Amino acid sequence: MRLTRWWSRKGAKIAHAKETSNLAFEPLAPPALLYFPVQQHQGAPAVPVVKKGDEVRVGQLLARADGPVSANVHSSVSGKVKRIEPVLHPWGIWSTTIVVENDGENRMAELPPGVKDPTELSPEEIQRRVEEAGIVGMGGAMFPAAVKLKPKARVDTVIVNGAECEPVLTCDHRTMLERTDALLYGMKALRHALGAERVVLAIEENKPDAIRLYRELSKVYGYFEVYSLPARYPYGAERVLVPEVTGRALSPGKYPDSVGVVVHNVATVAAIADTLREGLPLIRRPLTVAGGAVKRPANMVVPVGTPIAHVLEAVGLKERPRELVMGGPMMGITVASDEVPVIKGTSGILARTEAELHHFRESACLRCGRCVDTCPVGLMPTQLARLSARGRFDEADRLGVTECIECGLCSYRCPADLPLTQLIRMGKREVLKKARVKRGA
Amino acid sequence: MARWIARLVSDRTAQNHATVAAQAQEHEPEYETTQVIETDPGAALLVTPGPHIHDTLTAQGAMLSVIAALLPATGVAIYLFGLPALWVVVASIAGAMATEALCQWARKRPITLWDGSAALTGLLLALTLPPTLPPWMAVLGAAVAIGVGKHAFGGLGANPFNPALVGRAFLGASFAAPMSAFALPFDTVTGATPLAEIAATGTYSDLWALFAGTTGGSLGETSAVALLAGGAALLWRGVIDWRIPAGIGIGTAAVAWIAGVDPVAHLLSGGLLLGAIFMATDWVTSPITRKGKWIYALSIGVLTMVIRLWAAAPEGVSFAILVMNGATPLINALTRPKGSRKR
Ligand code: SF4
Ligand code: SF4
Repeated sequence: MRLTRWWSRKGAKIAHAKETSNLAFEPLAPPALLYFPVQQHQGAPAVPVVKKGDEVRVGQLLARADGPVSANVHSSVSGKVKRIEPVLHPWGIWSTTIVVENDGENRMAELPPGVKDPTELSPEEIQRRVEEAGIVGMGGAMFPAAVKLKPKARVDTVIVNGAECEPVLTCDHRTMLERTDALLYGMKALRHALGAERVVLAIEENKPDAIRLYRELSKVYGYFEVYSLPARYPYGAERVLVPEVTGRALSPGKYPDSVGVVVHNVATVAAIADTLREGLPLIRRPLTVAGGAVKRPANMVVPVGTPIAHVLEAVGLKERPRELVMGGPMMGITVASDEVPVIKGTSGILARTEAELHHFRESACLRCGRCVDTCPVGLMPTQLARLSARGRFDEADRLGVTECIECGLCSYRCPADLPLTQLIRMGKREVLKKARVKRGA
Repeated sequence: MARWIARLVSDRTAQNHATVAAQAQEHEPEYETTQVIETDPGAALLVTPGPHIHDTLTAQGAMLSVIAALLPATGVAIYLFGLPALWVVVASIAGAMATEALCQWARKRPITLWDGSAALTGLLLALTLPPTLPPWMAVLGAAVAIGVGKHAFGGLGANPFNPALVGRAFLGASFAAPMSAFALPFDTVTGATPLAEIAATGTYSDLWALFAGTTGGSLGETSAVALLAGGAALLWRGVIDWRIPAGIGIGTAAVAWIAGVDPVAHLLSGGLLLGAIFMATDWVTSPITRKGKWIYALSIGVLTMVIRLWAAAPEGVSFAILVMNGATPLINALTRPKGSRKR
């Protein structure tokens, strides 16, 4: 068992750097102005339902989901809609954004009544409430959670993803330690809503306290089990996680529901619990603030819509950051301004100094094979990167470029310091774009 | 406070960003480029695609660690064979570095002596040579190793054969007599190498001497313990892949066992350890897939024994490695990992 697990291990060990794992969540008070982009999920942007000058309350709907793959957006404060205009979004796009002036009174909107026990609700009702609450995948993918509650095929296993394989981030770890009751409630709700036989909480071995806690709890409650994952990157990625936990292989291009599995991040599960138990939509999110420029790294619960400058002000800065990353250092994205707001998928804010940055000094590929060895989905990054750089996208497509999960490991490990992930990502985009054009024509 | 960082992002960035974003928005809600979008030195925020961190192992670091890992074996060789051995090492390294600089200058490339790769080739070549070899021959061998073995194929990363072994093969073919005159330690009298005795009797009378290295042979093939220590350090640093030495060991031992000769004696002699740990593991000339590494390594082990047992040449490791270097592109093509099979 141990031996086979070692033999078939994927990815690589990378420095965890989780210095904030012992710091409890601090709530952050909302600033005077909050920004709610209508695009905080994968899929179609939501459509604003408020207009300039409207009074809004905490938890009130600001924009309604547009179509089946989309998500509602709610206000995290009470106050007045100041304007609705395109604002710079963390993704680097200009997204229609509802700007709300906080009146500081924290008046609550009328929320749907909560229930003590999720099994009192029908599966359809649970799905409807999650959809209403605008809950999206909070691990960073931001896929609407409600869509995963009405799967096309039968689901027998729910994996609750507490791997948190990204270095530096510790907010999922803290969620598991501090929001135990919400997680238990949420897991029960998911099991009930999907009629699943197994609910598996998967936690990486580098969080022994969480593993111990939930092993004990699972003995008492019995409706979920705990799976301890190797502490390697990227065991939290669906394409690695699902085969590891269930032994079922995912075919290329297929999602976990094709093998009867859905995966939800722990923070998402806690948000689902908050919705069903208290009627709260997704208006706050736990995140980790760290990086060399930060004086006092912290785990925080931040109102969605808060500009990251406000978050950084709360932790203090030692020096001017050179790079602001939203998410973890492997898969996070850099943002162009500290005015961009925290959105539903923001799992971390890293204010990094020049000394922490990595500047590529590309040399020739040394054919060491480290990128091939490490690619969790079995690609040959050196080849794909070369083809992408030369614009030979059709060949890259035949070699599986669209399977890349953009985990970043190949770039991380390459001793020749080539920007492999970056090139492959570009190749993947080109191939997908071509495919879309073809389908459209 | 919010203002001051925001102001750092100059208007130019905002404009750049808007154009990039507008282009990106047509197909994906995310900007994608391999270039840094904004580089106003020391002022604005950088916008770069991830990953934002990197492993500590660099190409240069890897080369230097291999050199460091070879130092114990080199030290033992100089201790055992004295000054002549030192001259061979110095001549070979100097020859390699000079040729590298010359080739790079002639090809109008940046001169990269400090990446350690030429020095490593020189050192590796020296360790395959007999200590009594005249230093000028070592220089010539190193020049062929770098000039023909490496730069003729396009330089670092492009050579199909291990340059040091190309140099050795050249010397072996050109100067057969001095290349097979192996001195006994503490002595400049040449004698039979252990392999010759193993070839005759099937085993070696003093395995302990083989292990410690007080036997005859080329510079680097004598002390098993020094080579193993270096190999362990490289495995720990993650510079070499354990599958290659393991596969070569298994292949060699299996054939020896089937043929009824002493596997331990064969593993410890004739430069097998030097080859398995330091030559066959060369990044550039070994396969890049996991499965490919196994096929490559097992084949080297088997080939080595076949050459030793049934061909005239007793020192089979270097030929086995060169042959499998040649097969590497084919092995790579045949052992593509699951996700990247052609579709
Ligand atoms: S090719 Fe893609 S999936 Fe494979 S290691 Fe690189 S980024 Fe990760
Ligand atoms: S890790 Fe870098 S140097 Fe090694 S094979 Fe891949 S691309 Fe080449």
